[in-house]
Amino acid sequence: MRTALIMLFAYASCKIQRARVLGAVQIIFTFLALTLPCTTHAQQNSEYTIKSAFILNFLKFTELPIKNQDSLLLCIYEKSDAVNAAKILSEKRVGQRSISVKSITKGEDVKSCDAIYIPFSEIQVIQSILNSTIGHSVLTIGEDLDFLSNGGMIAMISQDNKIKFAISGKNAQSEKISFSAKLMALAVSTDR
Amino acid sequence: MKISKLAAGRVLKPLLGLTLAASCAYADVTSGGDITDMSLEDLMEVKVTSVSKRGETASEVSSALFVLTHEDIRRSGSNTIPELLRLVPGLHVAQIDSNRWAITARGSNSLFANKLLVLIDGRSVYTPLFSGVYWDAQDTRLEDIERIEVIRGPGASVWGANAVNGVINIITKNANDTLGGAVTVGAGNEDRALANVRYGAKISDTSAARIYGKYYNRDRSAQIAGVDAYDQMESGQTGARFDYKEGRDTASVHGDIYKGTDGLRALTPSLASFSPSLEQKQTHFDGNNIVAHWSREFSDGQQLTVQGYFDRTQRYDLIHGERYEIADFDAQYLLPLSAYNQLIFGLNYRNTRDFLPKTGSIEFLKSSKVSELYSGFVQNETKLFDNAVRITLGSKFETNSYSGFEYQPTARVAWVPSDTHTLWTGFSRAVRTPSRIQDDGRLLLQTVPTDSGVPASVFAVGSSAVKSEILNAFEIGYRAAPAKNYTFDIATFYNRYDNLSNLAQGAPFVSGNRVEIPYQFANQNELRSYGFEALNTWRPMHSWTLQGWYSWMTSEIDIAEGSLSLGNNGRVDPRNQAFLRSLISLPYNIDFDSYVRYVDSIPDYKIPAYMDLTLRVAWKLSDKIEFAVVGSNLLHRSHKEYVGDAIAVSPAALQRAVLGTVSVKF
Repeated sequence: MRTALIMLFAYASCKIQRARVLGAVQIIFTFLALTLPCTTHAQQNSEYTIKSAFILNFLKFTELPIKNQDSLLLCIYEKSDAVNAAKILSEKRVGQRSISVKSITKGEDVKSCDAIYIPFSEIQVIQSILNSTIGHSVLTIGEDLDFLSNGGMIAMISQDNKIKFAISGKNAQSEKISFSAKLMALAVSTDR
Repeated sequence: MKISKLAAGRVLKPLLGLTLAASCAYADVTSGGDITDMSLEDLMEVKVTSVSKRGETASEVSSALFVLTHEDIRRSGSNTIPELLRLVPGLHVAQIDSNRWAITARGSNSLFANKLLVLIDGRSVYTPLFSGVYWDAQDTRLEDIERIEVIRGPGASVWGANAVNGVINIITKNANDTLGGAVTVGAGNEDRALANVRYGAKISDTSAARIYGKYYNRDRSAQIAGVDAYDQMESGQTGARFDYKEGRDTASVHGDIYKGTDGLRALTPSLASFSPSLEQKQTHFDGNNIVAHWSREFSDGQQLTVQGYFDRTQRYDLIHGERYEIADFDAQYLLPLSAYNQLIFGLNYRNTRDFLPKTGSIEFLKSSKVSELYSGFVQNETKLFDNAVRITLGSKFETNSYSGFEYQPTARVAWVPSDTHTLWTGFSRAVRTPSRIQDDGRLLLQTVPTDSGVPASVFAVGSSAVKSEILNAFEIGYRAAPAKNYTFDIATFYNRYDNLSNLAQGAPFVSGNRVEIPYQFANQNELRSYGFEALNTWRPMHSWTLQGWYSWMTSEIDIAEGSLSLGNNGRVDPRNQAFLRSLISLPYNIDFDSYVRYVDSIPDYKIPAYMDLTLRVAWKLSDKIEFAVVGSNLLHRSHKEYVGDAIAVSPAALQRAVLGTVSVKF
């Protein structure tokens, strides 16, 4: 009986603990927040804001097969910070088309995405998402040079606390995607 | 490579390897205008502090960390968790027989090695009975393991008691990453039969689940001097996992049920006879556990994680019986204080109830006991000089039913002059709290004749005065990636152990028609050990990876006068170990993988040095089907790696083994 009760409790602990612990943590946190305020709240998460601005530029300087005349669908893999930051793009236009941002999870259909952004993720996740884009002309944007060797097209790289990017024209070409000369010129590395 | 907070010397019991840091990173955007109007050229000049908000990268961690990735696991050819651990630099993984292992980091190995903390998805799996791990009962579908993080050296400031010589953290995949079906079946001369199956599916946009089952049957090892080893094992396990993620919330519930039998043949002392008799009996073990985990990311990078688990295990063998019920609750909070400073703190409560029946060999003052553990920890990380210097200060505080209040602080500094170099050092204090058997157990060791003809029985006797073993550890390490395809990692340590457990002779007394000679658990030994582990990873070609490691260690023990040694005089660890692994991807989707390992002699147990080879050839016919053949212990017909030190397990020699497997996905 006791065992059954404990197991039940373990099952339910998620909910019970949540309420109780939140209360306790709130008190501790309020105390800490008073003594040691984080001075940069207003600017938080702007890493992804900057990256979103980069993505907007990538879209501007990339020639993609047109899937929809009116809108351009930017899909972002899971990470909520990146998705939230990319909301600043949702009113922006690339040519005549307006950008819409969609959060996707693994296994979701990516055919309709014009571009997909995969923030830092496990290698297996990256590989399976990249595999699912093959043949659908999706611009793939990720992080770190490894992203390109895994088949990605544009990788954002941090250098000296600044964001740079590298391009694989080869990976893009096989999906009928091409980059403008400007993008190629600014990239820190290309495979051409 | 992303690693969980454990590895980062931080918290958040790993489970999801969360990318929680997202802190007060800020960009130096001064214009105040819309950043999306900036040109690419200008964007590239914007400075971002704290660029990567992922879990700290392995290369930046200020402790001796090694991560076995999913790919390492897949290509290891291993069928059990202990076998996988052979790949980890510096770990001494010694197979005693078909179902028993002695595993530790940085020395003091034993069948009952008690200074290593092992966790599976945040659940501690050592038995409080002797603070060691029953490796035969620790299993999961290896293909569903995301990664195994191993820290050599103390991790107690975050993980608490028993994270003394190292922490092994096994993290299984999120259910979203195991969709669809997969079956593996195999057969061989030693691993006689193995089969496992998993099926995973999306339940909704925000949740997924999987269910798995596995069966494993291992043959007994070679006879030594005509004595059958009687060490066969057979086990079955099933489990399920559910993952949920919506917005800022992540939750999971998972559990396992397992059951198995082993053979155990050992010299068993008796009160009646002067010479212990060689007896054999099947060991029965089983257990079930359930873990619930929830975390929420708040704005500005704060994160709350709450976890609860219940774990029930039981085991009955030739020597003893035990049943444990453990309930554990844990809450942790991550609080970025500024772009350069973050605080993590947490609270934990554990309730352990045991049932320890009296047997011919062992009995306890109380055959059932409830013990409680309350603990809390706080850890602060500061980044200075443009992130080039990272300072971690923290401590765990706990109160337990055996040794009372314990503190376990750590101070670590890393100097990261560039992305490719990390020099780190750390000082830590960690304790190994007394086990149940040291507290009030009474174990019959031997019955001997006396001059007067009256039999005398020698007992190991627990004592409530037993204190915790204390480690003070000093470590220095250096990690570098001098070329894109080459990395180097060295970690050195100096460990000083005080209050080390020993058995001190007490005064004999007459009990009925016999004399009892008690040896009481005490804390009179001291140990100093030092050594290093060096790891090189080189990728000469895209399709070829070479990984080699070498470890050296030595120790000096001061054994208190009058102590009972049980054969252990402090030379129970190999001084030198070397390992070389090659992973080659050939055309036509063929993998050719091999590793060779050298393990130095174990003087106290007269185990000679040995070298051995494992080969794996796998052919991926399509995305759905893979065939593999694995040969292990290939250089000898049979060899010995260790002894069942604390119990006189019948000696066994491991045999050359070949195993063929087929894996199908559907």
